[in-house]
Amino acid sequence: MTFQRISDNLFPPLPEKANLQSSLFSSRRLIYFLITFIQLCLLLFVIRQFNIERASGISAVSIPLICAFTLNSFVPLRFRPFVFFITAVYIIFYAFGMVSGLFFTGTALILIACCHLPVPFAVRLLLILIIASGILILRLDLFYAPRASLVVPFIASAFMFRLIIYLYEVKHQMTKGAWIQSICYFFMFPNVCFLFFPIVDHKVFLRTYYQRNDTEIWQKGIRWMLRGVIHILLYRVLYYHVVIAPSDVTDLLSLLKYVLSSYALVLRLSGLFHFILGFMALFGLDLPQAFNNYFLASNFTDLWKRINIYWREFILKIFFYPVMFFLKKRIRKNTLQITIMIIFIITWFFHAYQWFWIRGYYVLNPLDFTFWLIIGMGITMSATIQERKALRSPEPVRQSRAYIIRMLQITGMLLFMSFMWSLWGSPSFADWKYLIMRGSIYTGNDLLLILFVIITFILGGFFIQVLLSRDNLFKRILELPSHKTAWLTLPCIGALFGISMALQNPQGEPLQYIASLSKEKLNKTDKATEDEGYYKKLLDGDNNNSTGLWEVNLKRPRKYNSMDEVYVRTNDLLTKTFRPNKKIRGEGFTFETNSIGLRDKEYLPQKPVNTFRMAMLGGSYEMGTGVSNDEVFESIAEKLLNEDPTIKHKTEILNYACGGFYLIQHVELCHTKVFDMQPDAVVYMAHTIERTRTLQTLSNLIIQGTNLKYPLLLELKKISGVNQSMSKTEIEERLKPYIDQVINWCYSEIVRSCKKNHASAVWVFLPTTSDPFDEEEYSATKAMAVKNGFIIVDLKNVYGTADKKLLILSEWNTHPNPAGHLIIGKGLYNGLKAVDSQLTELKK
Amino acid sequence: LLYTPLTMQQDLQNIKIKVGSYIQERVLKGASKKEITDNTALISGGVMDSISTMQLVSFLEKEFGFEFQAHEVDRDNLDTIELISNFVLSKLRG
Repeated sequence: MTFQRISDNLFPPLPEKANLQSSLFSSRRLIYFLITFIQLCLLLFVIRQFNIERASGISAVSIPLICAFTLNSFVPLRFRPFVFFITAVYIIFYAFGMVSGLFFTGTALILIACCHLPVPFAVRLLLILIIASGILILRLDLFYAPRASLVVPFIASAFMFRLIIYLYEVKHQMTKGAWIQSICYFFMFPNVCFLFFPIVDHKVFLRTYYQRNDTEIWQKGIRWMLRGVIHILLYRVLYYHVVIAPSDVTDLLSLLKYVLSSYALVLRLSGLFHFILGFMALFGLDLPQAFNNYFLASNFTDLWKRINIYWREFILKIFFYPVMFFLKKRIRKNTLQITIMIIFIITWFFHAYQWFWIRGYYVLNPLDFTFWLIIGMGITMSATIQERKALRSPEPVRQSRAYIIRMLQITGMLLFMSFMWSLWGSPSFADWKYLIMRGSIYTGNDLLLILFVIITFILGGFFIQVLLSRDNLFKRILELPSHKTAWLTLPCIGALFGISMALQNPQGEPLQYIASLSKEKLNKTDKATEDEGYYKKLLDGDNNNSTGLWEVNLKRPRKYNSMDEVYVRTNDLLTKTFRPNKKIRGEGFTFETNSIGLRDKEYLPQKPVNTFRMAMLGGSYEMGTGVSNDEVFESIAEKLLNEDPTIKHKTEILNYACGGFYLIQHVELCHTKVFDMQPDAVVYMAHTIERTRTLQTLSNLIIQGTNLKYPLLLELKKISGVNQSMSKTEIEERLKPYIDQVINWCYSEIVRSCKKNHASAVWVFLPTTSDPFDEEEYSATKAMAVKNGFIIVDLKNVYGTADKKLLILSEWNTHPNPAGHLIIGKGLYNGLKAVDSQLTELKK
Repeated sequence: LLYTPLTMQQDLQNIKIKVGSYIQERVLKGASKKEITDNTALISGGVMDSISTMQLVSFLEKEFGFEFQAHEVDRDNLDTIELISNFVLSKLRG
C-alpha cells in the first residue's frame, strides 16, 4: 500500500488519460509497432544519406532516439513522460557535454520551479525576469562564460515563447497536467537539434498527449516525418536548381521566376516543422499541423490561418484576445481593425525578439516593419469584409463559378505574397524597387506565356476542386486518416531508401541529379552573398537577409566577429586600418599587429643589407583569417626562402594584407604607405572571381559615399550614372561593363608606382578554396597583368589533389586553415624562388 | 436564482438551442451541408476562426448578460455547443 502511494507520487497517473491504458503487448499493437519501427529506421537512414538537416545533429542521435521510442512504447503510460524527459536530458548532455548540459538542465528546472513558488505571482515574475536578465547577459557575451553561452540560444529557444504561455496559464490557473508533463513541455528533445521550433501551446501539449490510440499517433508521426523529408528535398530542388539571383532578373518572366521560387522556399520551414512534429508524435504527442497548404490561401485571413499556425495560435491567445477585450471596453467602433493592426506590430516585434535570442543581436529592420504592416493591413481589410459578410445572408453562387473565383483569389494571393516575400528578403527598398522595375521589360510572347500559365493553373485548380467535390478514389486517398496510411507511406519510404542506397555510387544523370540534392550547401547566389556579407560586415556591419544564410550565421561562432577590435575605421578608400601593437585571441588563433599596423612581425624601418624586401598586397586570405600569425602562408614562405641555401640573400615579406582589401585598396596602399618601407618588390595576390570582388568593392565605396579620389574612378562614376542612393544591384549592373577597365587601371597603377620607386611588381594568382574557377576570367586578368609588366607567379594548381574540404577553417568560413596555409606557403615559396633571379636582377 | 437539477437541465437545453441557432444562422448561414451536433468541433474543426469566435463571444455576452475574460476565450470553453453551453451555465451560476 505504502509502495503504491510512493509510486503514485513519483509517477502520477496522467489526468484524463487513464482510459487509454490498453494492453501493451497485444498482437495488433506489436504489428503496428514493428511497421512503425521499420519505417522510422528507414526514414532515419534516408535522412542520413540525404544529409537532411545534417548540422542539427539529428542523424547523430538516431540510435538513442530509436531506443527511446522502443522503450517509450512498452512502458506503462504514467512512465512515458519520464522516458521523454530522460531522452531530452541524454541528448542535451550528448550534444553539449557535462558542464553546458548541467547549466542547460539546471537553468531550465529553476525557471520552471520559479513559476510554481508559493509566493505572489508578481514575485515569481520578478524572479524569472532576474534569471532572464542573466541569460541575456550571457547571450550578449557581456560576461565571459563560454560553456554557458554555448547553450544559451537553446535555452532561449525552449523558453522564449513557451515560458510566456506557461506563465499566462499559471496566472489564470489553467494548468491541469502532472508536474512531469510541465517539465517535458520545456524539454521537447527535438528542440536541442532545431532552434527554430513551433510555438507549442501548453494546453495543446497536455491535451494531445496520447489523446487517442498510440498506434494511430505513430503512423501520423511517420507520415509527417516523410512529408517533412519530401518538403526539404523539394526545397533543395528549388534552392539549388530553380531560384535565381536578383542580379539575374532581367525582365518580367525572370522577375516572376525569382519571386515565386523565393516564396516557395518556405517549404524548408514547413518541412522542418513537419519533421519535428512527426518525431514528437512517435512519443505520443498528437499535435496539430503547423502548415496547411499555405500556397492555396485565397485571402489574407485564410493565409493567416494556414501559414505557421502555431505562431498564430500564440499571438491569438496571448495578445489578440486580451487586446481585443481591453479595447472593446474603451472603443466602440473599429475595435477589430485596431486590434489587428496592434497585433501585427506585436508580431513584427516578436519576430525580432526571436531573432535576437537565436542570433544574438536585435534587428529592427524597416523592411520587416513594412512587410508586417502590409500583411496586417491586408488581414484587417479581409477581416472587415468577413465581419460585414457575417451580418448578411450569403447570395447563392453556382458551384463552378465559386471554384473559378476561388482559383482567381488563390492566384492573386500567391502572386501578392511572392512579391511581399521578395520585399522581405531584399537588402533595401532601393534594391527591391530596382528589381520590380525590371518587370516593366517584357515582350508580347512573355505576356502570352504568363497568361497561358495562369489559365492552366486556374483550370487545373478548378478540375481538382470538381474531383474533390465527388466521392472517388482520389478523394478517399487524400482524406484517409493518417493511421490508415502505412500501406502508402511504407512504399514511399522504401523507394527513398532504395534511392539513398543507390546514391552511394551514383551512375547516370538522374542519380547524379538526385545526389546533388543530398548535399547541404549554399547555392551560387547565397555563396556570393555570403562572401560579400563577410566582407561587407568588415566594412559596414553584418546584414545578411538572404534565403539560406540564416543557418550559416547560426552556425558561425560568435568569435568570428571579434576582429572588429583590431580595426580602425577610416573615411578614405582604405575604409579601415589595423591598430598598431594590438593582440587579440580568437577561437584557436591569436592575431597580432606590429608597430606599423601590419599583421606581421616587427621589421626595421631601414632595410638591412643583403636583404630582398617584398610587400604583399592582399585580402583576408593573405591576412590569415582564423589562423595565428606564424601560420599565415606569407610567414611560412618567408621562412622557407630564408632557410633555402641556394638563395644568397635574406628575404623579408611585409604583409600589407587586410580583410576586405581589394584592388582599389591596393592601389591606395601603393600610393600612400607601401613604399615607406622601401620594398624591392610588390607582390599582388590575385584570386578567383577578381571581377566580382572588384565590382563589389567599388559599389560599396559608392554606397558609403567615399571620395573615389582617382580621376578614372570619378570619371567612371560619372559615365555610369551611379550614385549613393541607388540600390547595390543597380550600381553593380551599371558598373559591370567597366569592370575590366577598372582592373586594368589598378594593375597599371600598381606597376607605375613600383617603377617610380624602383621596385618590381609581381602578380601571384592564388585560387580560393571555395569559388568556382573561371578559366576565361583567369586568362583575361593574367593577360592584363602581363601586358602591364607584372612578373607572373601562377599558383593555379597549388592545392594539387588535396581535398579542399580539409584545407578550410569550417563549413561557414572557407578561408584556409593552418594545413591550407602550409600548402599555399610552400607553393608561394616555390613560385617566388623560381622568379628570384629575375627579381634580384631587376633590383641591380 | 437557485438551480435545481431539473431547471439546470432545462437551462442547458435552452442555451444549447440558442447557441445552435446562432451558429447555424451567423456562422454557417445555412450553407454547410454538414450536420452540426452538440459535439461538433467548431474551433478545432475550422468551423469558426478568431473573428467568428469573437462574434460568438459578443453574442453570448449580450444574450446571457455576463462578461468574458480574455483567457476564457479558449477551445476548452468554446469548441463545441456542449462546451459553450456548459460554460455559459457555469457563468450564470456564478
